[in-house]
Amino acid sequence: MRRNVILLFVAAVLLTSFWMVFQETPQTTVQMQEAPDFSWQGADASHHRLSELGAKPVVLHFWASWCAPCREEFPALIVAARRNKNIIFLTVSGDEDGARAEAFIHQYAGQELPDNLLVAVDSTHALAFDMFQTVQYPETILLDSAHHLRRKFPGPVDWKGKDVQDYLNQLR
Amino acid sequence: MKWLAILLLLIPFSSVADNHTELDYKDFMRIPVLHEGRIKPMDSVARIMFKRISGHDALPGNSASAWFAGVLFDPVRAGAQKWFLVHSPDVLHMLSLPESAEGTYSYEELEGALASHTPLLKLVAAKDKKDQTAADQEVLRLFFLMNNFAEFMESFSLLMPLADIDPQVREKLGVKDNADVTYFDLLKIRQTLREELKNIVVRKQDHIDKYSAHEQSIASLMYRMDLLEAADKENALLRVIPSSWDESGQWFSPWSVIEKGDGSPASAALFQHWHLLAQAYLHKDAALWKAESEALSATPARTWALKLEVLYHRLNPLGISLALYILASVLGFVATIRRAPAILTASYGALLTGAGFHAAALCARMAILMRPPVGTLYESMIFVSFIASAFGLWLEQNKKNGEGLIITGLIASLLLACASVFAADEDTLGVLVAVLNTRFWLATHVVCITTGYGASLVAAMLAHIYLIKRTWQPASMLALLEQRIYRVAIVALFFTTVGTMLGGIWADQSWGRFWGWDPKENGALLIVLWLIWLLHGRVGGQISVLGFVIGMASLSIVVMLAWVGVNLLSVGLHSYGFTSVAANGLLIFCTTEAVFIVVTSIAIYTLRKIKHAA
Amino acid sequence: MLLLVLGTVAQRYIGLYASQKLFFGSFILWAGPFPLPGAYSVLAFIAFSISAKLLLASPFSRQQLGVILTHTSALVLLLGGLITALCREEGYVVLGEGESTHFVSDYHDRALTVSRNGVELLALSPEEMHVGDTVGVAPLPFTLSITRYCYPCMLVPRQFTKAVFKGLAKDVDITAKTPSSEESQNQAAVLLGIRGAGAADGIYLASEMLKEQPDIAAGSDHYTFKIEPTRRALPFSVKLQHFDKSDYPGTDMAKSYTSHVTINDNSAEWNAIIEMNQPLRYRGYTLYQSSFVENDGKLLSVLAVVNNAGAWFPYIAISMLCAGLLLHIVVTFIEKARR
Repeated sequence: MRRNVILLFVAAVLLTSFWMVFQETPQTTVQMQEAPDFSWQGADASHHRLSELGAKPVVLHFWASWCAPCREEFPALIVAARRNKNIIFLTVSGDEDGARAEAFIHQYAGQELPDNLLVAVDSTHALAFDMFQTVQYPETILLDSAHHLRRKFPGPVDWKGKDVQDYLNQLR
Repeated sequence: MKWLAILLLLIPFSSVADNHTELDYKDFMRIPVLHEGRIKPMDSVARIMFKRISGHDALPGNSASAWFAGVLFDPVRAGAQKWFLVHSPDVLHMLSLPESAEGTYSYEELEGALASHTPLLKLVAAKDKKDQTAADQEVLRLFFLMNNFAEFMESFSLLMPLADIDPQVREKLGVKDNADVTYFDLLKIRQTLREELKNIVVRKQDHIDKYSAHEQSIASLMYRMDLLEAADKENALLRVIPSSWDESGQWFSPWSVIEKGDGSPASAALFQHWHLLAQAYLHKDAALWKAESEALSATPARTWALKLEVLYHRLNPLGISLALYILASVLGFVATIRRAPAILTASYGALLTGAGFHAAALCARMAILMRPPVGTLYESMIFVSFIASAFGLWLEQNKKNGEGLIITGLIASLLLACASVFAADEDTLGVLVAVLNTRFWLATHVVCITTGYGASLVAAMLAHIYLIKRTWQPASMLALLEQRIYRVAIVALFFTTVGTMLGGIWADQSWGRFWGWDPKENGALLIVLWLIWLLHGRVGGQISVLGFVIGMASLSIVVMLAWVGVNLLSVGLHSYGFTSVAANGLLIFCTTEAVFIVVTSIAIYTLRKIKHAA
Repeated sequence: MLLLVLGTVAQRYIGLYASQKLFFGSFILWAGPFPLPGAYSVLAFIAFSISAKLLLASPFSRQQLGVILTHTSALVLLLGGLITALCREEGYVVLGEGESTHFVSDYHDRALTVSRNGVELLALSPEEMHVGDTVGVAPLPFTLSITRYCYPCMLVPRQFTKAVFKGLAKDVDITAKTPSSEESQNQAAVLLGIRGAGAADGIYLASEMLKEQPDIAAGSDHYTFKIEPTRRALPFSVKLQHFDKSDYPGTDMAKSYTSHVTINDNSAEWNAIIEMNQPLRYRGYTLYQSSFVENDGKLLSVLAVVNNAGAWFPYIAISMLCAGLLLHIVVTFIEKARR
């Protein structure tokens, strides 16, 4: 009797170990983060929150007028904004002077800004630095319509490139 | 390495000399870190570093983690303490270091010594591996170890408080007068500071003596920031921040997160925790320390596996098994001599408990590494010793006379002890190279072969007992023992043959050739042939009973040569481990065995002759 | 067994390949003036003894069935070994992403290839050409002769130069070197004499170790000479689409490497994956992911290609062996239970 018990135990151990061995290593899939419902101040000192934007994908773009690559990137960004009307382009400026940032945008986008292009002023860097750890401008983060953080581009983005355009088309 | 200068920029005071033992390290130990290919608890990283540096597993009365926390958060002090073990007089001579009683040196001393001997280092590094002496290799090892240590020391330099912060800067940051300001904090307003400095330089060029106090402090601050960044921006060793964006499961060190622009709200939160943790350490705030380390230990990873790993290292089940095995063999020996059944039961109990811990250790390793526990030489040794103890228990079940206990107690203890030699300064829970990274073949071929080795060693040990007993008992009394040796030998033959064949199939599947006359293949074949030769001889009657037993006793030498000796040759696809301590150990073992066999054989023959003459 | 021990220890000093040829690929092993049996002789003897036993001394009974089966399996294994030794061909292929080839390079054999105006014309085996012989091969308008050939070779400065030496051969000479245990360090070189090409006549140096290849003009054509691993043609071509190397995160230790290839056999194309421990088998050839090399920042996949008619013998032998052993155990058990 005892021998049978031992044999059974040994068999159980062997089986579990074999089963465990052939288990696939759990892939550490990057857990999709949900963006916190952050608030920002517009150029006109108005206050807004992320949730106000509704269920739309968002291109969160951190920049500043003193950053040369940002300035180079801007025209293409505006074009992308005009082309993707369903996506909100939230440009967050790290300029200390909000008026300067606004003037800069108008210089590129004309007097009438497209509806989906929003301007935020982040002079204390609370949004860029404290919340999103943006250390160097420019940085762009793409959020889907459920406001999950999907992709990040540290540095300038080639808005005209096929890769980015395809990604924006797919962004839901 | 101007580490000292840089770090002194940061900390306005040197912390009081005590061990921060009032802090509870339980959660700190469990914080996940990506290190050497897999995610481990902070405790494992601490232990490995401590072992490599000092040669010890842990400080008496304090954990490696406590020491490591000091390295991370109080690097100036850690650098001045004497932890590095350098015992080779040749190395000391090469680096012009004074000999010390304990043989330990501080990072500071060693850094100075290495820095002033750079040409020598370059020369040694350029040598071909074959031409390097043991001292050369040790110097290189020290050099790389020091680099790693320095990198760990500077992992959190961006979160350490800086000295002499101008009040205007504090105002800009919105911090109070006595609060800490770190490099990371300053990054936020770096552009503003840069512009201010530009203005100053435009007005006053670099005539620093003409600067006002405020202007001087701005200039110095910018300078220090640049210096710190240049020194540490490549710092990547302590990977504690899981990447928010990289799909491949990459983790980054705090500096790398900034350098690569991998930041996100999640990493921002983690930075905050680490910052507070560092503060808690420096201010010896036990409550804050506990809260923050608890928060950090919840970073997403396989939490139960991390807990298991910390427990595994703390409990050291293999050490417990070793002690129990030694106890079992001693008690078994005593029991056979004094014929005391109570002691015999105690011995059996010790072996059983030892085997239980051993099995638990193997299962824990499997769970932590998610693969069969036989990938390296160290692992194969602890596996074989387990097979041996399992055999011993089975033998003991069949014939309760303590033999099983003694033999396997001996084998198991010996192997576990050897294994710790091979552990040396390696992380024994390491990842495997690509070619071994296949669970199926590890589970089949390697397990089979190591089982075969274990069985062979058991058979060999039984033969040893036979030889000892034969010196005073006639062969007729030992017939049953001889039969048992025969049976175990058959089992050994089965496993080694099947294992060797499976190895051939694996080789065929992976490299396109079934048999390559590779040292390890030759070694396994040697064991198989030895067993075949003996068994055929025994069955066919060409070898006498005594001849058979002597042959079986020699099997232990054959197995150790085929197993350990092959690794020392380090040639071919099978070479995975080499040390010279091992070479000496092997030599001693083989010589002892050979002497034993020769002496007992001579004794038996002489006594037989005497008996015939009588 | 003695052979095994000696051969294994020797591997440390003369390398795996050399030891294999010397100890395990030969009939006779010379220890000074004494002939010792090499592996082929030993294995032949073992095969002979097993056959003798099976044919002459094995009563065929139910009891003995397991034993007979086991011993026969050993014979099968040896037979497979013989076939493998005779038929097996192995080589390697190095491909960068987007590259394709239908040739396999040999690990050890070297060939002297002659190209005319950039197009490969023919390949000769320097080992088969004896030193001093003059070889005239159509359509070459000149003859070739080997002044010196060595493998492995070492380049040395030439002591006394003569007008007959042209190109690099003017200053560089070759001499045989002791084989290194690291196979990649053994490289071939040849001093090639050319006659009948007019002004270009002379002795040239061609070597694997040098980037420069001898280039002569004869008539209106340019001829180049190269020493390189012998190449054999495959009945199909392999194209590397994509090479994946995944490291353990945070290290540069390779965790696995995979080649995504396309096989093209007479315009029938299909994709396949070759990775570590999972080879591709097609038309008798087996392609393994052997390793990779880095060249100017690009990763090149190295595939090993093996063609072995005897590949299945070990599998048959093992099945027979296991069957035989188990059968023997079962039969013995039944016998004991009966008594």
